[in-house]
Amino acid sequence: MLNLVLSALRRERETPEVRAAFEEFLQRLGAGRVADSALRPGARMPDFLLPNSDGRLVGSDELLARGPLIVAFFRGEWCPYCSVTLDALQAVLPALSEAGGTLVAMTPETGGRALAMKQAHALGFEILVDVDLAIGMAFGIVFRVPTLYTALLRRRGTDLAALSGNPGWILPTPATFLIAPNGTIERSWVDIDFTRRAEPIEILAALAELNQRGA
Amino acid sequence: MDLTQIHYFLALARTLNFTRAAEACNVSQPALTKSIQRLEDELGGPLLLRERALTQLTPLGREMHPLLQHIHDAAHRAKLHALTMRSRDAAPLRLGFTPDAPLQPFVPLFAEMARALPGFELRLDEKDGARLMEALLTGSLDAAIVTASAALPERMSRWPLFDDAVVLLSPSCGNTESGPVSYLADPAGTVFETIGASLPPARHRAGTATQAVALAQAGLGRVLLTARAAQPHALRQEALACGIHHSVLLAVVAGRPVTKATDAFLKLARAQHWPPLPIGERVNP
Repeated sequence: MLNLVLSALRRERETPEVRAAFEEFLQRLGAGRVADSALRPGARMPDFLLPNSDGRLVGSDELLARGPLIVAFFRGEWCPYCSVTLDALQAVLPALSEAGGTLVAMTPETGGRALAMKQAHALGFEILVDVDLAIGMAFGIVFRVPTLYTALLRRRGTDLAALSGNPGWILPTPATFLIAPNGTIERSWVDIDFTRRAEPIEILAALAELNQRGA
Repeated sequence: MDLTQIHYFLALARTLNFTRAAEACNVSQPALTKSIQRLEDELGGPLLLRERALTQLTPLGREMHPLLQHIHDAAHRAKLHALTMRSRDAAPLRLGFTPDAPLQPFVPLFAEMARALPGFELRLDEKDGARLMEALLTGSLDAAIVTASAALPERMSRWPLFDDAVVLLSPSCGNTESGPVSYLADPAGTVFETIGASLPPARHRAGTATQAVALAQAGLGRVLLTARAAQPHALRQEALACGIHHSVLLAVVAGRPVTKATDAFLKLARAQHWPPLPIGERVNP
């Protein structure tokens, strides 16, 4: 189970500094704030045309033409939870594809980092660069990183401004959305706690359910 | 944060008046106030200070203003362009280069845009740094590729894309020990001018890179080009004229409405994995 691995990772990494940053994080952004602004099932997915890791412009229209779409937002290669999640998704990719699903990962990182990420994890699915988190904003999942967490990242040498080419120190909540071929959001997994992610087995189940309904 | 909150904040920053801002946004004042409070909660402090009849931005508000404007513009553009994603767009991409900025690395991006955007048109130009900035500011160019030597006014948003270096190219056959060097005629402030100043004076002088390359290919001397420029035939990289690399940047005027083609180009260029510098022999400074 992905989230068991992620909680173990979190326990490993927790220091008083990390805990304080995390508490401030939840206090500022928790209490349903991000969940409130995120697009809900029934809403229409925003259209997009974004560069992929190989410099090709990929449109949401061509993705939806293939069938149900799974859009998963990531924070970047610097995030160990994203790293583990990418591997977990790669592991279920054959099952996803067999069920007719197309998986696409979104990253805010520019400067060729999408390609580095794809190669580092030997990913068989598209990574799209959501420059300036414009599409993340359209999905309603973008937030400004709070003070303590910003300081923590800086100390670790993670300069989000340099990695994304955007000075705002904004990040996406690593949410996942299942979208029907007609562009309607079927299910969403949105958690401000970035150490928790959509369980791949749940995504598969939701996809199977969507297929059964013949949407 | 969401687009509505940012939209309201920008209206407030503009009007410095809650009543007028609410009117401008077509929303009730309590709704506007509530929305701003939610944004302030997320950002961890007040963005505006309401003192009797006077409303002003707090230091946090002043700090966040350009950042929120930038985020708002990008998100707003995505929304706008999404509606017409695949339709023909009359507006071309007008892109300028300084003489020392290489064109070659961008050619695959133009090809990709031609493939993905119906009706895509490209207008290229080359100007020295000062005239390029002027063209951007007056709106006759959408974006520019410049080297770090070009002084960029603060109004410009800029993103470093990749490193380049100046190399000396010689005729593939023939004596490179002797022989005068022909240079690019150097418009003020290019990297070539800086490098050229440290080399022996040239006997011949060319007016453009094309002319200089032709002279070098005929054996009349050597030529300075950047490593990322298209490599002309019958010339070989002799060495780095100078061990210093310089940065090549993408520049646009901040806050300008951006066409669909320009937006696609900015995204492609910023997202791109650029290949490493194609340098042959290296000379340490």
